[in-house]
Amino acid sequence: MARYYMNLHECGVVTEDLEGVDLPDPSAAAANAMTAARDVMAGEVKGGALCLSCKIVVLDENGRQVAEVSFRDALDVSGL
Amino acid sequence: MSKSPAQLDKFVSKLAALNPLTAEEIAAIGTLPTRMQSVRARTAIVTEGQTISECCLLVDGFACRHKLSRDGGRQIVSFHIPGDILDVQHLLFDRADHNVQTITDATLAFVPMDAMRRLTDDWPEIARALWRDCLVDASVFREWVLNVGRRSAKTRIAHMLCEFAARAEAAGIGSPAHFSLPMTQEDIADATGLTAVHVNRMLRELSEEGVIAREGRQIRIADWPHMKRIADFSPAYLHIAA
Repeated sequence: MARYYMNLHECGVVTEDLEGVDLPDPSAAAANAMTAARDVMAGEVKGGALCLSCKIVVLDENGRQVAEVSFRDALDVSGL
Repeated sequence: MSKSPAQLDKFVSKLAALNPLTAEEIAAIGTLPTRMQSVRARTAIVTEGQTISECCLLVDGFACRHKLSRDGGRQIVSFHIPGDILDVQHLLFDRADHNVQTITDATLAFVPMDAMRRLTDDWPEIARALWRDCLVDASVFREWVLNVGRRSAKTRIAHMLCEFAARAEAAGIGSPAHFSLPMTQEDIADATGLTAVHVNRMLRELSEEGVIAREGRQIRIADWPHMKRIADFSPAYLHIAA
């Protein structure tokens, strides 16, 4: 298990993760970030607005980026 | 086994607040055989399906009750503070229907279930206090269903934190502005049906609105009246004695 930090980037505003989460490996961290991205978007949708340019950047304990999940890629949108 | 009445103090205070107790009744609680144990954060105290033979009282530190979905998702269904009896239902049901886990390092007092049962058989007013405790628990669960089912993410989080602060204050732990909340972002997420990233974002908004203060990983309520308004929080459902 290692600790990963999920920083939320919303068009210039960064919400830094100061606690992190313990996960087995970078691919588990990327999957966790995907779930988190969809959850944040669900909240946006309930508020009536959605920005697909936002993303979650996953860092490891040493501050190195191990994954990036953009909202656009986390969602399969049709009917636009 | 050791008798440690001082360590049962918060438990006695809590029961006496639920139902007035005489000196004799309080002394009877003090005769319960107790086994003290110190545990780390995230220790499982009770596991769903387990047969229970000891009643667990939370003496110091904090705990939660939770259930797991098929894919391993944890839903926290309640938080617990010193003085709480974590599994009063096991006086009457043998098998645990949920999990109990510490969220911080904690001190626990274990009482043999037989001894607790004899106490409630011998002292009806103590039994009544425990009955009231169960009813308050049920009221809190109803509020949590409303919270997770119908409130927005930010209101959900604010409400859950207000509830915790109100209960801690009533238990004599301190006023909301003066203690750090013991839950992690992940605990808050699991309690509100959100992810930790979403929680972090909502906490940032609550911080920008001035109702909470964040210093590193610590969260403190900064403006209690305003926080209650944002949370749509009214303490009546906690049935706290005036």
